[in-house]
Amino acid sequence: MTTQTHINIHVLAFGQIADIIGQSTFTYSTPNTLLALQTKIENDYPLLSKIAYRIAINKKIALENTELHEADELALLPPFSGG
Amino acid sequence: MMAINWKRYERQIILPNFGLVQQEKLAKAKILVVGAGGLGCPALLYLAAAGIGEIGIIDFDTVAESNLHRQVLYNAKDIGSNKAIVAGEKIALAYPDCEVKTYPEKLSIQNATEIISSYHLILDGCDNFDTRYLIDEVCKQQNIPWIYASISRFEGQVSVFNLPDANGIKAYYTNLFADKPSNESLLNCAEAGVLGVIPGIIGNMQALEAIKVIAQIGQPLANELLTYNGLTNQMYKTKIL
Repeated sequence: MTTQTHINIHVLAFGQIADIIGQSTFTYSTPNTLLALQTKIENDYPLLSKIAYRIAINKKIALENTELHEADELALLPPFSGG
Repeated sequence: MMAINWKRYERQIILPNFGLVQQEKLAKAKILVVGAGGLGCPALLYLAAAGIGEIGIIDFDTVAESNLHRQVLYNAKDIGSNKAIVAGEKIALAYPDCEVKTYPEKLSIQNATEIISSYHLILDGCDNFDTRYLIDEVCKQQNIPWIYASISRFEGQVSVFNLPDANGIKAYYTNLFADKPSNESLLNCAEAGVLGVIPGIIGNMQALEAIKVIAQIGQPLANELLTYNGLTNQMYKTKIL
């Protein structure tokens, strides 16, 4: 049996996502893959699964599931629509 | 060599990284501003003031009283009038060097290719995803760079799409958000509220990116997304591809 490693990452939440989570910067304990993080954070904040958003890891948009590391900076970026 | 009004543009021509060559590039440039609203109004004013030779303005909407706190080209007498027409008249009056064309209609699948292909650069000041995805698609087909921006309450996003970065990589809006979100899943300015100065700042950032792309100075936001938060003064910049 493998045990998933838990790490602490730094999260920046933008636009509506900051409203859903209730804060715009916070530290979050998560399993160390992007998919596992998404599952966990959408479970913690169910409204997140209802909107589109992209995740940037250390200032680059993540294209696929990838390993996360302790102290990584993740940005949760929804599309904006106002003009 | 074009006849440049030296006196009018002197203060930017004397800049170390700017000059007559760059001013002439602005004078030869044709820019289309899609949406003459919160983002479009400041962008139009500063692009025309900077000496852009030709500006197109497309907007089907009419001025409403609730627009006036952020759409600074309009006043109470303009309520009910088409935004493209009113903005065009005011820009042409204030900046006679600038040739202004107005399109009091909606950018659509039917007219987008013909209108967009007449310009060197597109500035997106729209407030809906249908128009934004249409701009992305037509600019890709016609190989025209475009300056994106959008607002969410006290925050704004800015990027330059379809322009190669230092490594030759071009990003499109669809690289950021592949699937068009439903307009219902996101709040627009009418529902979410907006502080007028935020689109003022972000629309000016779009004008600056447009000037950088046309004059070929600095590092435009090619393949990068910038987010500005007006409450914290924080800027966050990420690579797209």
